[in-house]
Amino acid sequence: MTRERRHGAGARARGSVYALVLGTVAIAVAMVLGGLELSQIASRRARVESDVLNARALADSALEQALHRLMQVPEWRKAYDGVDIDLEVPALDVGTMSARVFDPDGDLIGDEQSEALVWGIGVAGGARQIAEATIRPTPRAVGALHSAVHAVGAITIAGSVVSDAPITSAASVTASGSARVGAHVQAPIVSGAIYLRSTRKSDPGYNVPSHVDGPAYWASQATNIPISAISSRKIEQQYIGPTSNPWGLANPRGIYVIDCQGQSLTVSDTAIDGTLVLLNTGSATVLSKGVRITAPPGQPALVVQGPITLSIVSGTFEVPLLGGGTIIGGLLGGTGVLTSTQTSGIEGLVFATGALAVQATTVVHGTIIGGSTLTLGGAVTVRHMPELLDAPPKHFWDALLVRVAPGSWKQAVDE
Amino acid sequence: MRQRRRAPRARAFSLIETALATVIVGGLMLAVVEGVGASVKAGRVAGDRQRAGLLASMLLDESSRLPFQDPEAASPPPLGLDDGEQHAKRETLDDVDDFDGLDESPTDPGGNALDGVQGWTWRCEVVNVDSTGKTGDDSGLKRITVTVLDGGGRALARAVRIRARARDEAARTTAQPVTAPAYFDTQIVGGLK
Repeated sequence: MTRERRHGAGARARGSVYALVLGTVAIAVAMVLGGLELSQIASRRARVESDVLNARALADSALEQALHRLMQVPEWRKAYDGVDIDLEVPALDVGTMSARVFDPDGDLIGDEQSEALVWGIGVAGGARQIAEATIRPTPRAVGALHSAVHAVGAITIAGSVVSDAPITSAASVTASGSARVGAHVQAPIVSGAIYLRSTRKSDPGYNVPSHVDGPAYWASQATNIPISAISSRKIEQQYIGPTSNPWGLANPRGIYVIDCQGQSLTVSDTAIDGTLVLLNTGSATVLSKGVRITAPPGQPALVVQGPITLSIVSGTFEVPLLGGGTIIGGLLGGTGVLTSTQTSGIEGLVFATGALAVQATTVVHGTIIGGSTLTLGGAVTVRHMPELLDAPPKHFWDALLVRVAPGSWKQAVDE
Repeated sequence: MRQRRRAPRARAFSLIETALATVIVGGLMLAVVEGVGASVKAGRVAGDRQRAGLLASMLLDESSRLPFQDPEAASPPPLGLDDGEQHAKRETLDDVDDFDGLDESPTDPGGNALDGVQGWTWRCEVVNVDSTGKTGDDSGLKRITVTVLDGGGRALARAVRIRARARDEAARTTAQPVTAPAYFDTQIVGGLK
């Protein structure tokens, strides 16, 4: 018995060394595996971070390429409605890219001037990143808006004219007699005297608005004033604007159209806040004496389909108030307030498709565009309005350019 | 007596047992040291790659933020540094392709060395890419590639992106900047208010 017990104790002792070795083995294996796992985690994290950085760079790359493509395809709304934008470089060795454009309201092709979202999508390894920008279609003004005065036909200067921007013609500029031209001039033919600033004999290459679409569009936005309603076809001592139409309902944007039906119309001592559209004017149509037209941003001041003469006298004139409710320049007409003092001049864009004459002491702050011949007489002053280039009225631009809304470039989340 | 003498012999490890255990434990210790060493090394490499990736991304962002083309050049000049520009002082660079050929120790834009990257190098290549993605003439796209290498010349990270001229154009707030013709100055001859 005692012997067996002792043998049993010896066996247990021999077994314990193996247990010790096994325990050591287990600890060692655990340490090695733990270390390997930690290093793998670190490697994985490094790889994931690298993938994210690469995917982000790819997303930005895709967005830039998308803008590049949209600028090349004028009809991009139709071309990429529901379809990925084809990228010139769709993949780099770190991953792939794609891009799409969409309208948040779901209608990409409905309105050419509505904003759209562009997504650049980058994929690298297991990471996917999206860069987003808002596109704001921005009108590019017709070239003629670079000038103070521009005509498709010949310009004849018979008086004195001063301007801070060029007078340009696609045909010729002729200063006759004792004319004094205080502005830079550019036209294929420049002749006569006296030019006080530089002249350049070349076609400026400017485009002008359509003779049909421009007047038609603005007429469609206007409230009609029948020529038959205008006594003797003379508008005198009137105030016309968003709150006042002496012949009917007021147009909230102050846009009014008169179809002259070939007859001549005279407008004098009249103030207009908005846009006056004259169609089919007779050859003796004239804005004379005191006339003020002030166009709000995005609207022309005067659109004429046919010939017209601007013979406006600078200085002030009086416009009678119609009584309570009529607001002119912040003045409310009413008891004791009988007239409003107005300063002559046109603030905004003037466009006439027919022969255009500007004379007397007309002052224009904007641009005068003649679709035919143009005559400058008297002592005319034209001050250029650069804002017209930034925000030209509709149909006075020739393209909608892709512009990114400031601050809209950001990381996006795919929902 | 006999039994009392045998008892201690029975409880002790035999020479073979001890030798075997020593060999096993010794071998294991070697394996542990090697394994732990390898994992420490792998962890260090992973950390280096992580840092290198951030550096590459930083240089990529810095270069792509600049204008597509030298703002002072009327026509596209050759890629690379222009007059008065230095890669060692990146704040002198003013367009994307000025980064082409950069091969320096990583520094901040002012040229001050960065910590923890001694012996490292970063390189930048900027090329025009054409419509097939291959290098070619200027078609409005440039590919920027940044590579970060350790002291032994081993590439730790590489970052690449495309930069388009369109982004500069699209960033303008207006359709056309009012770029005045050469003759268009602000002098007024009089008569204007």
